[in-house]
Amino acid sequence: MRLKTYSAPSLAEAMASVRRDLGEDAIIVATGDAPGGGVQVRAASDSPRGGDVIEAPRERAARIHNDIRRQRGDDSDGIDRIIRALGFHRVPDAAIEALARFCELQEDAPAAHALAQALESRYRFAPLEVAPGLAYLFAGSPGAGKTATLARIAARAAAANVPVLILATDCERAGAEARIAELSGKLGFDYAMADDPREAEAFALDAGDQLLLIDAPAGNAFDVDDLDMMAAFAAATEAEIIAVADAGQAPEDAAEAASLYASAGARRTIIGKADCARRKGAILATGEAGLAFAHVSASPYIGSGLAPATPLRLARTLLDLHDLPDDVSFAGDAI
Amino acid sequence: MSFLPDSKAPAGRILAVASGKGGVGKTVIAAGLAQAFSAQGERLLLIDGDLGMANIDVQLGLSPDADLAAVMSGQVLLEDACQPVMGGARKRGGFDVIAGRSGSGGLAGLRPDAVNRLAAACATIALSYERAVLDLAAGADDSTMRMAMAADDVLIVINDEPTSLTDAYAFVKRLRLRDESAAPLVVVNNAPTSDKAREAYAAFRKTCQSFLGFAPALAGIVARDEHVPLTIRAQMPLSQRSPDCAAMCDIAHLASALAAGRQAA
Repeated sequence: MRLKTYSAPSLAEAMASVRRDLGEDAIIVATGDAPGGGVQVRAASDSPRGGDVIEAPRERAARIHNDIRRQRGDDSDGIDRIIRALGFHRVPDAAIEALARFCELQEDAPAAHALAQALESRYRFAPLEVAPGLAYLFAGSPGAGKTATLARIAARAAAANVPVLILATDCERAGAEARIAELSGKLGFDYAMADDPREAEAFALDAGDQLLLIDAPAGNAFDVDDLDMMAAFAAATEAEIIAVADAGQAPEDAAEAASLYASAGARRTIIGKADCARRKGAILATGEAGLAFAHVSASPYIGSGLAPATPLRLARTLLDLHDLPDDVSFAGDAI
Repeated sequence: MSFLPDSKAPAGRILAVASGKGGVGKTVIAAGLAQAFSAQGERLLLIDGDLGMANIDVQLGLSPDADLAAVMSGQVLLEDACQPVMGGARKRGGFDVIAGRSGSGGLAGLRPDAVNRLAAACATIALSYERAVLDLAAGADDSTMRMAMAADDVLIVINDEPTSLTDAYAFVKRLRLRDESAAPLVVVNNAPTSDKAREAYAAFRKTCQSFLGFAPALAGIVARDEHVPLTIRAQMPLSQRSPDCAAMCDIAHLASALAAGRQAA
């Protein structure tokens, strides 16, 4: 703790000195008359770094942005840039090593292309088809973006004139049905609520040639009972389990969760929140667990947010190159 | 922090006296409380918990045969290190003392498990008394905090100097990092006036409340009293040399309040 005594002609002047020296968190522990006239103020601060000037959000954001650019190696080139970026994102060590070794073989290629080829060699990529008669169940931790992902796939189906039946199983969570109802209403699709796998099976049988999109119950990937319930819904509806991963999750957690979803039958993943996470090691950690990349979220907007997870797109995401003109070629993919 | 199965049990309650800053009169308060509690009829043990700069024996004019350092090295049993003062704990007004040893390297030099053993030993021997007063070392290092954790009650001695406030605050902060339920009490020592003492306490209370979300209660105020330095120089217990002086009266008042679990009015 820092404790200082200030004397000044007026209280306001003393307080200004307190704020300047000790910061906004300082408290006044005593006030009185100064021996030589004026006021005396004793103030304390227990902040580790008192006295910091508080920046406006815009300035703070700019500072963070610059720090990130430096840490990520945005101003460096080639393999150096790739290694720094992968390290910045906290990509698992084994993956960094393997990807770097691959990139070293393509010294002359631009960083994004070299990394894309390395990603292509190490991971599988398999976008979701949107066609009648298929069924997908979106599973993931609460907040990973299951429902938003489902809505985006539904939007893509709408654009392709594929009829959709949305099945919500997350009946217990507050507001879950209202959200599904609103999304379905906006897209003009039917939705149904199924409390258990048996009910879900009945809806699946009635779905006919509709594309069946199932919002799995909110569950914890690390809870085996939750995983079993999710797998039971998938089995009852003969749906493919799509693991929805949060790009901003701790990479270790992401790898473990992905491996559990894989053991429950998932083969593909959709990466949510890639547009807002800064450190995105969870993306490749999910791939390390053996899941194929299907899509990656590109913006928070339902109508325009999901792009196929191609090697080049992931490379650009990791190198933060999404604003290059080349990216326009992906615009048509976005849904 | 209690070692007792029932906190209402009469035996072995340990009161640790701490200060953070040295030189605020911690040992005077601890020794004075020992005298006051025993005058109120409690069987009392005073332990010098400051192995590095122990001076209870010096202040009270004792020549201990054994001290806490000898206990820690295994040379003597803790109970054999107890020395009677003013007739000893069996006599009203007297108490037993376990001295520390100045310059023995101190608590800070002990390994954590040794400090824990020492704290446990103090708690065990305290069971043979109605109350033990533990004079802690100044500072807020790990060993001192471990010793403080062995106490049922912690009393922090402050005065009206800014350094006392910051160091006492550091002590409370570290204590509550270890035990969120710890509720140390405050005594303002060497108070020039009651108003100055209350100002010092108010500043300390506000600091703790603002930064720790915890407001320590005021247990008492001990007036500045010229008899105290004179008694220290004479190396005698305050209650023996100047039993009716203002400081001793305040300490007796403090002891009554602590025994009754009262806060200062």
